[in-house]
Amino acid sequence: MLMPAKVKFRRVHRGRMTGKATRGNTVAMGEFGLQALEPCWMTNRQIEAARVAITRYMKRQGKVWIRIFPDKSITAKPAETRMGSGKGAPEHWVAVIKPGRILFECAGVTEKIAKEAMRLASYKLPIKTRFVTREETEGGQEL
Amino acid sequence: MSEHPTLSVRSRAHVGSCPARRLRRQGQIPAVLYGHGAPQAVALSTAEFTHAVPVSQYGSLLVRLVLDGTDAGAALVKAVQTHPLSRTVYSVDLQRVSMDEHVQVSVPVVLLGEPADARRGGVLEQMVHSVTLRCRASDVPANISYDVSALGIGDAVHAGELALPANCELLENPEQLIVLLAAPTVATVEGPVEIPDGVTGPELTGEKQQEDSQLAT
Repeated sequence: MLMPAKVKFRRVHRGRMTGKATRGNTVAMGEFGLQALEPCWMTNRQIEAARVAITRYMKRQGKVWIRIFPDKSITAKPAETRMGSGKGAPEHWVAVIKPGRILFECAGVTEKIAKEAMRLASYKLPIKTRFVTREETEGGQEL
Repeated sequence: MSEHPTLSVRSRAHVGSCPARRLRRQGQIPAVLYGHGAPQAVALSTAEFTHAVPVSQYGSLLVRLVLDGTDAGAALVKAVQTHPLSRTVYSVDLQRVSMDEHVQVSVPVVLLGEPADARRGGVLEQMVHSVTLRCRASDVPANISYDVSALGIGDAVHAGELALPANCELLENPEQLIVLLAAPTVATVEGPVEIPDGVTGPELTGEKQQEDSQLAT
């Protein structure tokens, strides 16, 4: 599963997820993509499950790009632990997703196969998504 | 000039975010017209713009401009800002040009045909979808096409191999890879990748690492 190789600090603040994705909102590498329509913290398990769903359906044809990376650590305290004694240990890693962000891209397959692969991947994700093509997102500069 | 689409724009007195939002609510796009004189704030119809300017030609289309009912010469649709979700056009930059002036434009690269090896598992990867050209405003091509039907697995096309129209100069690196017919990849890892035992997380770098090691002792 995806996680950073090195970090400067083990724990980070929660931050905010307001606004739309002003970067990473166009299909940049492939021909088709899966675009987020809602904000969320997407865990590395969810990203991996979606990737596996795409590659399985595409039967290893074509190429898949993951456009997000889980670089934010989420901590949790062990069960039945009294409050206090500092912040919990890092439990898992998430990518902060804002609406408009392209999550996955693929190329080298027909639109029909890409659409079905992205549909199967969307069931693994915690938010609403939509299938987009390069033509739909290209041209305009990112805001 | 007659083959270029016509865009009707009107000058606007109010600039800023509030007047711009008001314009968008009325079905207009705030735009700026610059080059060959002072920049001018203008507005144009959303329906007319989306009908006249194809998405693929944002940044390279030459239009005939009608400003407040009078012919204002040629202009280049230099940049277009769109909403990240709805893809509605937010703002347009128009650059006044004279027809014999040299301009720098980003022109889409269109691949024609399908390589025979693509049916045998080869993956056609287009690395670059547009190239930057320098040419006269009257000679700006709609696109640069390349026939890829003769490509075999492992073959690549570089920017220098593209057939450009006359009087066009390529501003990209000629060695820039445009398209590649890659060999089929055989993925061996099918299931989720498990983290091996003993790997608890990423390595810490910086001052925090020293503090943690002091706490541990």
